[in-house]
Amino acid sequence: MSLTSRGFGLGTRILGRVARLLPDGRHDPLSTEPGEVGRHVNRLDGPAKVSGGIRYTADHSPARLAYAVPVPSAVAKGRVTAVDSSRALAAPGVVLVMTHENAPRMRRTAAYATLKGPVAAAAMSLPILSTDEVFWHGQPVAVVVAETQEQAEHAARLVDVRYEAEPAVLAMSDEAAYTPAHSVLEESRTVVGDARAGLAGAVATVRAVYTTPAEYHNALEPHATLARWDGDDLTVHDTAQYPYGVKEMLAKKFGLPLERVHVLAPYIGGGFGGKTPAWPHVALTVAAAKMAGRPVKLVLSRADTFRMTGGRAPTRSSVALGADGQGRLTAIVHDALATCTRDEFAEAAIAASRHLYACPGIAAHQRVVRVDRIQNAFFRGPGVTPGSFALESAMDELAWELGLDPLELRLRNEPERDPISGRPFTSRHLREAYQLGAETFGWRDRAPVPRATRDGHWLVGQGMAAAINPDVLLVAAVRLRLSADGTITIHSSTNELGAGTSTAQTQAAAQRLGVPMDRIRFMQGDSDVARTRIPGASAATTTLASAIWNARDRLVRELLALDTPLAGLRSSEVETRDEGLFTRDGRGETYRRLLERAGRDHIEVTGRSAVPYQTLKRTTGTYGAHFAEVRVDADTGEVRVTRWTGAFDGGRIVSPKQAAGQMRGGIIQGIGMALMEETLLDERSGRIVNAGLAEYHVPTHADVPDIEVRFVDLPDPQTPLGAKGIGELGIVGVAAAIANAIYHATGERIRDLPITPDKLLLREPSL
Amino acid sequence: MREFGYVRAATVAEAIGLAAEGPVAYLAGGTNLVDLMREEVERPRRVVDISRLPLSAVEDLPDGGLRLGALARNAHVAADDRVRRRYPVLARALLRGASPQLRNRATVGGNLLQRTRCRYFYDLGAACNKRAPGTGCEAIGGFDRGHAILGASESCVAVHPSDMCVALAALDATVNLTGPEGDRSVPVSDLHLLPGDTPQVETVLRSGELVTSVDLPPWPPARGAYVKVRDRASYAFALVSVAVLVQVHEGTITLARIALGGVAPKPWRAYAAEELLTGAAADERTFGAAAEEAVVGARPLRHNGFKAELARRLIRRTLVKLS
Repeated sequence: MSLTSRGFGLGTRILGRVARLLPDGRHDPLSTEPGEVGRHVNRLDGPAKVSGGIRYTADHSPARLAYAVPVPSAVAKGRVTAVDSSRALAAPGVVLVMTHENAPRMRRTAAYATLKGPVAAAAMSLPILSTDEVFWHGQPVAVVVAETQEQAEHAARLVDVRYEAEPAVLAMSDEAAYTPAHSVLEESRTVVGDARAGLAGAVATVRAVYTTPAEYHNALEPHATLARWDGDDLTVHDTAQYPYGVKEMLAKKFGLPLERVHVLAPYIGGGFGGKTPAWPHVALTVAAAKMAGRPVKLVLSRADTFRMTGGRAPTRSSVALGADGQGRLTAIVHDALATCTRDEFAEAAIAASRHLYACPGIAAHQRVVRVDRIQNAFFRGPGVTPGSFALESAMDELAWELGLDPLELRLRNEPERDPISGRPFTSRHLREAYQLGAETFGWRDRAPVPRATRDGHWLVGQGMAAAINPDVLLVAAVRLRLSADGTITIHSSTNELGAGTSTAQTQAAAQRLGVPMDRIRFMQGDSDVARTRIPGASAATTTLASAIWNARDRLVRELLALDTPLAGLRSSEVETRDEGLFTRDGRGETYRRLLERAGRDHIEVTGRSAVPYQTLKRTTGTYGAHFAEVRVDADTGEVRVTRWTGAFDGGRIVSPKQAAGQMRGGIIQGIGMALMEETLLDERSGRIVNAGLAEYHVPTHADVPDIEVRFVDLPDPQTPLGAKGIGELGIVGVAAAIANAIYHATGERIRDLPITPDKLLLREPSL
Repeated sequence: MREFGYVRAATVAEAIGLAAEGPVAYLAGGTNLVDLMREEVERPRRVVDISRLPLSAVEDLPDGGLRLGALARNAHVAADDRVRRRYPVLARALLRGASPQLRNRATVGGNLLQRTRCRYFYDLGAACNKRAPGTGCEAIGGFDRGHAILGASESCVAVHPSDMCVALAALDATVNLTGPEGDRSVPVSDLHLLPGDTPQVETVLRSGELVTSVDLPPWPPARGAYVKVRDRASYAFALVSVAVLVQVHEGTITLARIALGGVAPKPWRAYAAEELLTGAAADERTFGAAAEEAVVGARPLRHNGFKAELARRLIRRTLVKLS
């Protein structure tokens, strides 16, 4: 998996031919040097967050603020024939009702999510509130603006919308399936060798169908937008994972020069990909503010986050595996089906099957069905997360067929090169992760047969699965300012999603510039800073580090050009250490002294991330292994996860505490996926029935065991800091590890997520 | 949320008097009513805040029973030493409901009168006979995994979500009411009505009537348990729950009470199963027969057929454990 995949604007085919000629990644001395990188540091934003000191998007309330609430459509497809706003307008406090009849002009923008237009963050190209068309149940068909949130909520229920409904396609069926031209970060169809022959000649085979439901991110903070027009200047506070993309999107939609649009998003209360594209409410808030002539804030209700923002598409995977007598794979066949919408965002559930195992015959085919639902979206490990449930469950089944330990089966099929492209890896230490995880967990003590351990009415079992996710370097720019007092401020238009980016970057920048961490101020979330395209993809740590590395080099050059005793030295002759520039023999000055001598108040440079050519000639990825223990109530089918070890190859770990938190969070989200999360869409109406946290269950503390996270912690020789992006990796494989542990506990194989008590109850004979 | 009138009552008489002037909603902990008002499922013109009335005490009764004030918080009742010692089944049921935060707010009276969690009831866009009589029931033929297998009707298949009520039903508790027409008491098992053709009428409460307390009879000399199965380890409504009290004397069952939650529009007493148990030998065959009997007549919907089997298993296992 690499950046060569379509969509990031680089022509795969052409580059494929010349890739060998491209340079490797620049070796980063920081990847092996001791220092702040790799130190256990508490998160810098922690105290402010737990004491309410951080202002999130919805916390801003400028003077004359009005509140907006969207009206969801009551049909899944059709046209709005009439909107009667009179009752709403007569309700207390109502400022205006915006409909497709009176909304300001919003130009059509390409959908970012399809990766066809890598600029602008619009979630979809559909003309929401620009025409009378209805594309899904719950689509905004009007927006009510009032003096208070409560008044707007009430009046939104008074808007009388009439529809002419048309038949909607809501179900995922084979009949309507087709092969999309592009799948996210993967080819839709791949054939390597002869998988059919591999199956025919196999000693052991597994053929099964695995399904995963539609799931939602459910970040703690719901999506929110606050828009303010000052003449032709537009300032928007938004819960955007990709502020620069929102800036571009709004400039296009409203016909504004880019420099007139200011998007601010320093702190995000969790995103998981759900805030990567800008959903329709973002532009609608801006339009409403324009109409109202005053600032407008729109905070989606939890229910509206289900209706008006997208989640993970449901998937169905038919997997066939074959292996020879030595447990070597002879065939991997993965036919996957998922839903998509008019803007064809095809999640590649086949991803893991293309890159995880060495196999001479691989046939992977992703198909999609267009449905009239809210568009699906990026969600932590798009495609690979649901698809790995299928592959990693099937691998477990194959291990039992072969009478081989599932860990041993994986070790025997660990590839030396990418199984599809044949390219070398920049680094791949999955073998080490398997061993580290197995030792920590005590995998060897596992009973060799299923249903062997019972504790009262609990059946106890252990299971494992591999994790894999692409490692991507994107585009970032930072503005670095060295002040006369020796402090360094770094501005970026990325943001703190809660992942610990600001802490990790402060650690890395401190070491890069040779200053203590408290000299660095890392500022985020202002789209005016510079062009940065990190919408997600776990790419912030390395891409920002690359830009800061470049900024450091520029700063050194600027400092050496000043009129100081160091003037005339070459960059290569000095090191950034001890809060200044010093030669190896100890000659040098502190930054403060250098600025003082030159009579400068500050120096500002812009650093840009390097083009990651290495990702075009080599396969990049992050890897891991999950080891799970579960207890299953033999009478009721209740499953409790009781023990967990996750071991990961994420390159050099920059900020171990933040990294472990990311992995732990992914594992918890995976426990939810395995056991309880499911979006229930009533196919009679298109309505999402459990649109809320009361009925869409996510794990509680009581559902989460102690989770041990271990890192292989070996630097990737080709990346900044030797690091790799790990934000998504933790969730991949979790559901399979649990399903495999449930099989080991009970002897029952559940291939349909989530594994709720009823599914096991109906299989399990009572004690 | 719609605008509404708000009055805080200083005395029970004042609250009743306000209710006599026209329809009101009594506000206690607000954990259910306020949610429903925000969604505009409940649309009271006037809200009478009863949360400061002196109805929150837990008091001993002369007969050895215990009186739970209607405004006693769920957390308070669950932590009360007398409840824990004399009615552990009630303490356990309370602690398996909601979250600590909600239990700190929610009251005994509010818990009794809480409304169903049927998703179609909450969604103003969906047809629901309980919310809008005569519109139909979209739960039938929809996502009915959580719905009733017992006591439901063609017009409504919603379940009563309370854990506390299941324990109260097994304990034969009595609900004390006061209202414009005076005081009265009803057994907790008679408080809730089956939906029939009028699912919007959920209890025998008359207009303006207020729950003042719940009386627990003296603890029967029995062992008890409350067991709940749900979709996650905490903070979820029951798929099936069961409160069981049983007393065995020299191998013979002398007392048995079984109440089920999550399966019916009201806390469901399995009287026939209790009858079968009483006087019978305390052995696995009897327990199995009683478990079968408890769900006789169950009418599963599309996705909730597992509930009958789950109820049978829980009853059987709990009886084995207690005897």
